[in-house]
Amino acid sequence: MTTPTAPGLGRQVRYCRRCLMPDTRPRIVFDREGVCNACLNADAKRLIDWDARREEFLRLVEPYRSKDGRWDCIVPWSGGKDSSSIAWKLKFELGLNPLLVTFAPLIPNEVGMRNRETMIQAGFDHVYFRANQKVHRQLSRRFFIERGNMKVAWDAGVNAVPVQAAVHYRIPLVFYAEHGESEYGGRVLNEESKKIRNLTEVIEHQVGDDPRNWVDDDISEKDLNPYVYPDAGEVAALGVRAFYFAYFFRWSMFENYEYMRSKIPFATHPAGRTPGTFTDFDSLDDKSDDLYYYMQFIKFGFGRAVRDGSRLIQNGHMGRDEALALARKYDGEFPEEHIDAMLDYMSLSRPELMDIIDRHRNPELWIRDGKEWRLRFPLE
Amino acid sequence: MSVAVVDYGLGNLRSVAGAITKLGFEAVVSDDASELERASKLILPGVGAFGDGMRLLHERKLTTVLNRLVIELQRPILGVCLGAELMARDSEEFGFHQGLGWIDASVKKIDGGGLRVPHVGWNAVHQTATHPMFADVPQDSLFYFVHSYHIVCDRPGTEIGVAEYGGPRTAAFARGNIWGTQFHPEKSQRHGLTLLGNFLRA
Amino acid sequence: MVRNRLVTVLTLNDGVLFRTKQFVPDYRYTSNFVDLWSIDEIVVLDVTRPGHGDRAHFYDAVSRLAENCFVPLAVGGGVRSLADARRLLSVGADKVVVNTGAIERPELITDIATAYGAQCVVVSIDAHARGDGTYDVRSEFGATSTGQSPDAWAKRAETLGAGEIFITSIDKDGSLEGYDNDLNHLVSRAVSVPVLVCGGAGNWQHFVDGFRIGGASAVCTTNIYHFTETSIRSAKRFLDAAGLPVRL
Repeated sequence: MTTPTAPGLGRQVRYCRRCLMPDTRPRIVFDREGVCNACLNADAKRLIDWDARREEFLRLVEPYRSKDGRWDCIVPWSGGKDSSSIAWKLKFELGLNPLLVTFAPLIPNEVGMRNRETMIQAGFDHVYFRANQKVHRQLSRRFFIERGNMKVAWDAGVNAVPVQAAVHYRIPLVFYAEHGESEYGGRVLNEESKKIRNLTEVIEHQVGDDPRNWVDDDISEKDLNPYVYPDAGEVAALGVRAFYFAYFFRWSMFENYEYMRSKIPFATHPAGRTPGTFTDFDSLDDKSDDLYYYMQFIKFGFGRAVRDGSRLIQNGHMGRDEALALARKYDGEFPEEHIDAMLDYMSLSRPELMDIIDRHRNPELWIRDGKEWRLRFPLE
Repeated sequence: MSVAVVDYGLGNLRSVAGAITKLGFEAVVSDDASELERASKLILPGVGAFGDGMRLLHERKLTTVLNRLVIELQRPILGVCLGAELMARDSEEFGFHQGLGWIDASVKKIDGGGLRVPHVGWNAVHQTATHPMFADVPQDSLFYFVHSYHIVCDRPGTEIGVAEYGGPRTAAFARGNIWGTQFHPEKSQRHGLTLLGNFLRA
Repeated sequence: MVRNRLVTVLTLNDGVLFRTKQFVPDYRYTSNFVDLWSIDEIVVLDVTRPGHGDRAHFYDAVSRLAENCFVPLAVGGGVRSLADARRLLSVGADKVVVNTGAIERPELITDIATAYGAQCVVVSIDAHARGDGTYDVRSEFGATSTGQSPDAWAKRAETLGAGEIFITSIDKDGSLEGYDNDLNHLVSRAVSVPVLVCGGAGNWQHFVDGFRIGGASAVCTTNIYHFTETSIRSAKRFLDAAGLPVRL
C-alpha cells in the first residue's frame, strides 16, 4: 500500500492506468503499477463466489425475516436505479418485506419523482422525509460557500433518517447500496468495511463534522433533528445492523439500470444525456446534482463523466479509450440547466455563484489561461 | 516614517515587523546604531530570559545606543513582553540581573497561587488610566499573554493596565515616551493591531 | 482570568493540509476557508513521513501562514536540534513544538528553553491506551513504544523547561467520538504548566468535557470544518453557555 500522494505545484496528477480516476480523489490509493483500488476491487469482484455470498446473505437475514407480516428491513431509497434494484430484489426475489425510506432531495426532479411513483405503484411501502426547508436551504447555502458542497446537510440526513426510522419502526436491518471507498476509490480499512456499514466512517468522510455543531445565529438545536443520528445506546439496544447490498450481490450501476428497466418503465434524462456526462440514467432525482458534481470537478479536477466512465470500465461495460474520449468531451460541462433553481434555492446571485465556484478551484489543479481556466494536468 | 524593531537576537521579529507593515508603516529590523537612529520610533520586542536579553543588548552595544535615543533624545519606544521587562530596574529570573532601569519596577516570578505558570492565553486588560495607547481599545479587551515573570511597579502612576492572574498583574505601563506591554499586541489580533497603531501614530 | 483556549491544529503532509486518522495522513483537505481571525491560537505540525516529501514545502507553508496570522503560532514536526527550532522561529513560529526529538534527547527541551524561553517550548506527547487503564508514550508518528507513562514524561519535560504540554490520544485521532479525558486528566494533574489536549474532538460538548473533565487549559481540534468563522463562533457560544470563559 502506498501513501497517497497529493498533487502539488510542479507535481503530477496521476490518472489510474485502467479507469479514469485521478489521485486527487480523497483517500484513493494507487498501487505500484498505477492502478487504483477501485479497479483492483472490481478485479476481486470477478473472483468472488457470488453463490457463497448469496448463501451468506440468506443465512444472515433468516432471523430477521418477518413472521407476522411486519417490515423486516429498511432500504434507504432515492428512487434511482441503484436503491430501486435493491428494493425490488429484496421484495420480489428474496422474499423480504422492505420499508423504503427517502430523505428528500434538495430540489426534487421530475424524473426522480416519476420513478419513485412508478415503484410505489408497483407495490412498496414508502416513508418520504422532507426536512424543514428553511433550515435545509440555509445549511445548503452555508456549506456551498464554505466547502463548495451544498449537499453536506443532505448527506447527514440521508445517513441519519434511515437509522432514525429503524429505531422508530423497530426494524433493525438496513440495506445500503455499496461501500463507496472500495467501489469508487478510497480507504478500505478491512474486508468487514465492505459488508458492514461503519456509521462513524460515513460521518468522518462525507459529513465531516457532527451536525450538532451547526447551531448558529439562525439555527438552533431543535432545527437539527433530521441530521443527527439516534442515540448510540438506542441503536445498540435495538441491534440495528446496516449492510451493503453490494457485498452479497455483484454490483454494477449499469446492470442495476438494465435490471430496473426490465421491471418497470424507468425514466431517464429527458434530453437523452445528463449534463457533464455521457449517461442518462444516473443520479437523476435532484436538480442540485448537476452543480454538485460540477463542484467536484472544480475541487478535484474530475466530474461526472470521469466518474461514470470509470465505473463502466471497472465493470467491463466500456473500454478505456472510448470512456476517455467521452469524458474529454463532456467532463466539466457547466450545469446550466438547473442553475436558476440553484440560485433561488441558495439565495445567491449568479455573480456570487461564479465567485464562490472560483474560490473553490484548487490552485494546484487549475491555471488561468486568459479568461478561461484549464486543468494543469488534463485527463490522460 | 520608519519604525525600527530592535534586533538583539530574541523575539519573533517577523511577527512584529509584519504587524507594522500591515498597519501601513515601514518596519526596519536592525541592530545597527545608525539605522536605529534614523527611525522615528522604536520597538523593543523579546521572548526569552531576562539575563540573556540584557547580555545580548550589551554584546551588541545596544544598551548605549538605546539609552541615548530613549533617555536623552526621548524617542518613542514600545517594549513588548521581555522587551517591556528589560525596561525595569532588575529581575530575579535565573539569578539577579540589572535591567535598563527606565521605569521604577522589578521583574518577579508569577506566583500563580495554584494557577498554571506560564500565564498563557487571552486575558482581559483592565485600563487603569486614560492613555493614547488605549485609544479605540474597549475597556477589558482581551490580549494574548505568554510569560512566567511579571513586572511589579514600585508605585502607582507608571502602570496603566492590569490583567487578573492570581492577583492584578501589570499588563501595560507608560512613562512619557516609554511605553510597554506585557502582552503581545502583534499576536492579539484586532485590539492588538489597534494598540500598535496607536503607538505608531502617536 | 485567562480565558479557556480553542486551538486549531493543522497537520501538513508535504506542505499540504491533510486530515489524519490514528496518525496516518488520510486525505487532503480542500477548504479555503480556514478562518484566521476568530481562532485563539494555531498549531501547525509537519506529519510528512521521512522520504515522502520535501521539508522546504513545510517551511513555505508556515511562512505563508505566518504572514496573515495575528494570533500565536506554534510549529513543530521533526525538530531535533536548536538549529531546527531557530529555523521555525525565523519563518514565523512563536512557539516550537517538540516530540520525538525530545524523547530521543531530552536536553533538547532545555536547549530551546534556555535560548528562547520556556514559553517558547511546547512538548508534545502522543499516547496509546493499553486497554488496562495505563498509557504508553509513543514516538515516531505513534509507531514506536517508549514504555514511559505520559504523566511521568510530562513531569520530566516540565522540569527540563517545557512551557506547555500538548497531549494527544493516538487512538482517538480522527475519530469524532471525543477526547480521552482519562489520559488528559492524568497529564494535567501531573504538571503545573498549561496543558493542551488533542485527539477525537467531534462536537462542542467534547470541548466542554476536555476542560471540565480533562483539566485542559486549551482544547484542540484537527477537524478543518471546525475552523470556519461560523463553526468557531458556534463552539465558543456553546462553551460560554456552559460556563467556560472564552474569548468571544
